[in-house]
Amino acid sequence: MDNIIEIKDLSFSYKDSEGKLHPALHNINLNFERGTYTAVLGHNGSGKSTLAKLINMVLTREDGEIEGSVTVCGKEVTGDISDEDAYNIQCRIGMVHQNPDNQIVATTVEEDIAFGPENLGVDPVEIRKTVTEMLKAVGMEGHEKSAPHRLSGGQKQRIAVAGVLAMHPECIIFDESTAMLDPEGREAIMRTIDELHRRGDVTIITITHYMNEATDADRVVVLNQGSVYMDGTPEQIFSQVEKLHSVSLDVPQVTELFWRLKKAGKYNGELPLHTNEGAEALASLLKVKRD
Amino acid sequence: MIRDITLGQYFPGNSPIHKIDARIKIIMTLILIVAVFLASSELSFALLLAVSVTVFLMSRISFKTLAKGLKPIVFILIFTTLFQIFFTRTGKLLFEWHFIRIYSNGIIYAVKMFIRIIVLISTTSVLLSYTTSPIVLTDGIEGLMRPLAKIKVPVHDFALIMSIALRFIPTLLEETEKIMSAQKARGTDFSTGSLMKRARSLLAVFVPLLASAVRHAFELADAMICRGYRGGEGRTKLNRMKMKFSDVVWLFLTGAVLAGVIILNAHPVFTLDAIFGI
Repeated sequence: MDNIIEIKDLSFSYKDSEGKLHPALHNINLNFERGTYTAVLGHNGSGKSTLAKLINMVLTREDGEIEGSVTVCGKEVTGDISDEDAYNIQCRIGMVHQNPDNQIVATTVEEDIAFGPENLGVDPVEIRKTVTEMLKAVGMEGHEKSAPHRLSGGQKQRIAVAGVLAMHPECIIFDESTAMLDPEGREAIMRTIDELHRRGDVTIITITHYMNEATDADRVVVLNQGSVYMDGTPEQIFSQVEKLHSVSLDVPQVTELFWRLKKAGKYNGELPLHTNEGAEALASLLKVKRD
Repeated sequence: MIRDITLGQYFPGNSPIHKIDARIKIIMTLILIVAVFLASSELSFALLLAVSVTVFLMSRISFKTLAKGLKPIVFILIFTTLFQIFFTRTGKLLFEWHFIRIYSNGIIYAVKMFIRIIVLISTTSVLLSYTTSPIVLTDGIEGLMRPLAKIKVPVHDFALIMSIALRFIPTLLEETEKIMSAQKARGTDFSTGSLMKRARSLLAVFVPLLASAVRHAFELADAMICRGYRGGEGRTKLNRMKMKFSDVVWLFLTGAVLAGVIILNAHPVFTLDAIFGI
């Protein structure tokens, strides 16, 4: 088994300006296998963004107290790491942030996508090829010369994704990347993530608090108050509706519906996760009733 | 709406003037400015006027646009022209009425000053603002300053600062609009009251705007680090500026105009003085 990220006994506390510690993560043990798609769920303050920032070295020992270790691509990033190693790892782990406006550096779309490869010193001819390819990968062909401020939120976020993809990372972390988007933009980003996952050469970690964005993942990790609360396939996680409700997390709407039907004794199959499965189950349920 | 603002006064187009390399345009502008200030004889002014009309016609910018661009200087134009007419006391007396005396040199200086200002403003705005996008202009300035990097001038950093500033103007404008609406909804009055009172109510816009700009800066810095940015060293560029043969021709022509102005200054063939018969 090839793990791109290994987290062992990790605890982290933020240090504020007065030196007081604010614990954020307790004793986390998680491995992320290469090429998989994992969704990390949790409330605000559950520590999910902290985890991402530790993986990508945005948070270091200067920002707080770290116990345990995070190993990325075989290098321990929480310990002593040379600047050169840190730089290499940051280039291999891409990150898409929440606010699309704060990730776009350049004044035209093509130059923004080129920003990463330009930093790596890639040949301009090669960059041109990458830009075309990545715009296609996120479904934004023909926008090369557009000004970012004329695009919608969803389009901007897709440009940000293309900019990260252009660095050919081995892993992409989507840190609440859909939180500021309208439903249409959210849909577009989720489609892009699915498409990336289908191509299979990149490890995907999405951090979100929208439950229905986790249903397409291979694996769901639920964080609660800084600890791993649940870990399993979406089917395993979302079938434990009571356990999720007890920490006031929801399940996807369609799952909730069938869970209630089940509780009322009207349904006794598997709880569906996707709307179309739900529709089918509902249709057969109604058919049985009519017969 | 604020989303549709154009940065600077750039008018996209495909004219020969649009196609000149930005670095060449900057140099051309500088040469023409020097020529405008060197010009003294009537023929050299005629040459400059002809050049600026040609450049304007070739750029295919509408006259209306140019006139709009010249509007802010109308006052200065009228003021300096009148100043020259009424306060020059040399040459032949042409007209006298009570205390107003107009001399021949006054008319000549006024015409020259008029042409000087018009040529100066119209060529710089046609060459730089109207036909060069701010982004390309930034690249051009960076390209021209590149040799300075050898003496440790942080050229790349300046260029990055400029292009990020350009990139964030629309974002910050959009945010200003949002904050103003939010503050209006909370009862802030931006349009009535004394100047002091209005300035104070604008504070309610500037403080949140500044806070948000700082947040933008931190998050952008994180995003740039995540994308492997570590200064200008070893960076390549997607769109490198390439000098074309036509750019060299343009530079040569501009040089010829400067030479023409100098020659015509030294050999006054045809002067207005002759017309007034002094």
